[in-house]
Amino acid sequence: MIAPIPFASTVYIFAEAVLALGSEAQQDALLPAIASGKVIGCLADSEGPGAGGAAQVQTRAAQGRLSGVKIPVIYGDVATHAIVTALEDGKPGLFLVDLCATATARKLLPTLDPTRGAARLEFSGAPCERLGPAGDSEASLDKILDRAAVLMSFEQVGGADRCLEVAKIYALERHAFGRAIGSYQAIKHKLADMFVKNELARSSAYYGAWALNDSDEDLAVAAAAARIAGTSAYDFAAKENLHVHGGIGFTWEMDCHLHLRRARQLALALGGPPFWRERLVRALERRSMN
Amino acid sequence: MDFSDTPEEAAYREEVRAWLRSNAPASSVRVAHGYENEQSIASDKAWQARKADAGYACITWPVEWGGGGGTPVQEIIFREEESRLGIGSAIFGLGLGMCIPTILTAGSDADKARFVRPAMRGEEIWCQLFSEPSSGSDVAASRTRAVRAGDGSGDWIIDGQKVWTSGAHFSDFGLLLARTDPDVPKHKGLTMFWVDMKAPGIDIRPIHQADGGYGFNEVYFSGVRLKDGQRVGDVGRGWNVALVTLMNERLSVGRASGPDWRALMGLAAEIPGIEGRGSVLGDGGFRQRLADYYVAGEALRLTRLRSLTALSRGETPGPEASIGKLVAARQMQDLAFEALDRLDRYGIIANENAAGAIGGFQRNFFWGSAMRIAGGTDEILKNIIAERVLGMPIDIRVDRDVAFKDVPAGT
Repeated sequence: MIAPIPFASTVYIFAEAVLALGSEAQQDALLPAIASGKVIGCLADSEGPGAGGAAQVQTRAAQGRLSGVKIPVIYGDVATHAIVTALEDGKPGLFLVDLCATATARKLLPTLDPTRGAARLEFSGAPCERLGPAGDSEASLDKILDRAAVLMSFEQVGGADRCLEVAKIYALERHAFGRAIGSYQAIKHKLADMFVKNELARSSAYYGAWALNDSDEDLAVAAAAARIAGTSAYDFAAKENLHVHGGIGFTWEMDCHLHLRRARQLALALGGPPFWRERLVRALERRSMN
Repeated sequence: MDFSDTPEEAAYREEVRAWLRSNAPASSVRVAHGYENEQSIASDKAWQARKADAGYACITWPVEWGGGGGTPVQEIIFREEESRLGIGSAIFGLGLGMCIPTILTAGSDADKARFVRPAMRGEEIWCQLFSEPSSGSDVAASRTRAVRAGDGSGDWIIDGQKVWTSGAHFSDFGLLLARTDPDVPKHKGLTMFWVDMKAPGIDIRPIHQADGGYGFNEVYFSGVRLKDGQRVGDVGRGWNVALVTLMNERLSVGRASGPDWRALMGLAAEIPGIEGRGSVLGDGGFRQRLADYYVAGEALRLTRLRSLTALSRGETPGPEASIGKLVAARQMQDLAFEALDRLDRYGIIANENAAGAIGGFQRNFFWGSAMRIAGGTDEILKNIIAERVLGMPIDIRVDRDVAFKDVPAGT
């Protein structure tokens, strides 16, 4: 089912980042508040179209103050705290910002998946503190993205499974030319293709979870693979589920469009497929050099 | 599930490595499927016998039949270590993977006593005589006739033709699906037999395959006489016996063979990029596709591990086990086309070294096509997933309740 709550952004990204990179004081201040639901977190790294990453960052931090514009910030509409990428002394870093403090302007943005909001955040000297070691933000951000990618891949597999499930139910219910449409090979093969992609994504997600827990050295490759397989499975399942439903699938009578929206939202929220494919090949190259 | 060996599995792997170190042949004659010759078969047989003596030939089979009494995971570990040395052979696969398990399930005690050990030791090779010119995907439509001899001996006379019979030309025995009653619906009129491939009246003609090799055969039966004792299972129950064989085929979860994503990545690093800029590995388009090949290849390997984890816990593997060959065959074909695309004009020069990357990809340029057909076409496998795993209705069958002789046959 599609849940309109900022769980992924807070738990997969923000909490994992504080766990992995936060000082003891930061962890003490934030983790219990995250657990009790008082703190809603988000990651503010994008500054415009494209997968520019660190090279794109214009936001600046100096003397504990942050200035710049981040767009889009997923769940920036409701978040209480943000992890922000910014340059300090010309070097990229990660910074924690309390969005409820002064000097942050929020503008809500319309989104393809309205169950997941986003905002444009403009910081004008907002108070900030460094998260993780100085001058090492790319490695820190990589770690955040890898951990989030693995956790999010399970959400993608869950969504893809649900799409296959409802497509199956509909293919058995709906009759055309005197037979259930699920008895036609064109529909069967579509469902089989969904099943294959879902199983490959599930195996990749399991492996990602294993690497997250047990093997730091395999995490970059495993996380990217889990993300690519999860994105591919959910996008495909969402599209084909809508198609199996025919015309009614393209209406608000059915949930098909909710999955179509959510699949794309998840596909892009943490960096799109081209970005992750490049990340995967780079990780493979690093591994083959070691 | 776990992705590394348990302490027991690690100990077993060490044991296997130690055994292979002192027993593996220093050199063996490796040839591609379809290019087997006397020398390569002799070398494969010698290695199989040595494995059998040590209990490594059929690791999961019961000890009473000469097996190792081990687990499926141990079998995989042995095969991994064996293939690392490049000494595994496929010529016993049909016999040990399909025919003999069928004999063990449906054969008489005399058959088991006669056939199991020699097959395990590689002394006798088996082939599977199911497919026919008019029954490929629809294997239950076999037309090869088995008719009782008119002399009261109870013998059977076989007439007809089988096709795509891998290894028939070097096989000693075959498992034959034949029609004993054309007056009942197709699944009910079949009976299974074993045949001596050297029997009079059998004519084996190798087929010139698309890749140039001769691994498959046409097998013609002209008045071949079989004893009633060569029947495997009851008269009219041949389809049920065949299902045992085919189930064993699917249990040997499909895997891609030949060069993988790693080989493609290595090859790409050595080929200049478009207009001579850098290498193909530096090309953004190539990198995007390589990532997808990696994900498909590794996810398939991990999916196999999921099935193995279930097996090692004594559980039945879930439906994920059914996707193996479907994904593997497509992957073989996709990787081969990508490699040839990137070699550009140079890709048209046939490279005879099938062990090298270019020769291997060229081999899979052909074998990708074969693998998408053999052992169940892509379409049949998708039907099976949709019907048996996802619960879709079976297709409307016009041949189901009709006497086989009245089913429209086409030409």
